[in-house]
Amino acid sequence: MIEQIKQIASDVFGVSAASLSESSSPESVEAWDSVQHLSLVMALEERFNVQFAPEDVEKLRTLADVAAMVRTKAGTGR
Amino acid sequence: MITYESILERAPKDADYLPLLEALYVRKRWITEPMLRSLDEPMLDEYLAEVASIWRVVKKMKNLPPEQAIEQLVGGLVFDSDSFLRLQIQFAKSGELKSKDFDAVNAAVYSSAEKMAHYLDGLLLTYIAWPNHYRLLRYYKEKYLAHGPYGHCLEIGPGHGWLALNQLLASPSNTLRGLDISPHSIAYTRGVLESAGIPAMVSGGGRYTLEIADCRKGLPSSTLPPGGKFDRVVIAEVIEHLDDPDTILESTVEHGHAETLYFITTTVNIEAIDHIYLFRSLQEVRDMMARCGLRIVDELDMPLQMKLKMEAEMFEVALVCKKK
Repeated sequence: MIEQIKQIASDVFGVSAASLSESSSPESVEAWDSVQHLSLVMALEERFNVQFAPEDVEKLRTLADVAAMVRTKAGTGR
Repeated sequence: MITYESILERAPKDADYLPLLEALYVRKRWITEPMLRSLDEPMLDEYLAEVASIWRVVKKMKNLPPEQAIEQLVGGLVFDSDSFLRLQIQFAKSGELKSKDFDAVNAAVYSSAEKMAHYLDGLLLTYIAWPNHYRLLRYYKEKYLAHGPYGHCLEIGPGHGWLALNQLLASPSNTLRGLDISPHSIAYTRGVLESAGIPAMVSGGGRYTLEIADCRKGLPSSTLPPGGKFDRVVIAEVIEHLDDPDTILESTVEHGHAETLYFITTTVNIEAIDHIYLFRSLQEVRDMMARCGLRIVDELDMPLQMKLKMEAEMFEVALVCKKK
């Protein structure tokens, strides 16, 4: 799943997927501001058919957080 | 560069609004980062005075332990920021507003106690959390409230009541009639004015009346002041919520005199849960004012600083107008 998320994040942020890792965060990715954060969330919602509440959105600080949240929402343990 | 720490250094050590600042600039930094970037050293005292002023009134109005009041306020800000960003991102892709029907928005938003509670808490807080809204409030005070004539004021859609309160504080001569289609907005505005110690009009005294009213076909005659003309009219964050803004603007022009001062705000290419009228350019806004009989005497155009793949520019606009 993390590879899928890296690919989606790469499309949203306009950077190469290879430059992203599980520890990527707004501090390490220049394009990752609040607008792109919501763009990433919306892309994930569409791709994985899940919904993030505002309080979920705030908890996503790294791509690892994102992957964990998507797994929980999608009900997959992968 | 201004940081949360530098704001704290400037604030009085015993200020009771420090937990609100902490909630905004530490816990909700993703929302307030642009606000922080927009502040500079000379602005800080005025900014902190606004924070203190909002907190003083809202704390009294909510009558809750401070931490609970802050949770409600900040929860509203998160609701507004999240929904706004999502809608604006969708708008950048589609170029169309999601809602087009006033009655549907009225049922889903203005008539919903739960949604309006979040919405109004959040909107009020945007005056100290969103840079364009803070700028708009300063502009309102400097370019509108500082100038007469003072006297009978009308506000259509007072919402959270903060502009109404400042209108009443601007001059002891000002009395206000506030009209809003949402009973929840009327209750919120009343709460703000009462908490600020402004007396409501009762027989022979007081300074304001608030009424639930649908002004889409014009002003109700019951709301007109003696002589039928208002000295001041505020229509802020309203016309983009109407399917026919012309009618309401024309009605207020009919009930103004040659010196009546108008304060009108709207948005260009900006989406929100209750926006149904889309201005696609600043010129469309100016054209509407002109055809409704208004002359713009001052204009503040505030570009929305969002990195979106959208060709058209996004603006929040504030206008000070007089009759042509």
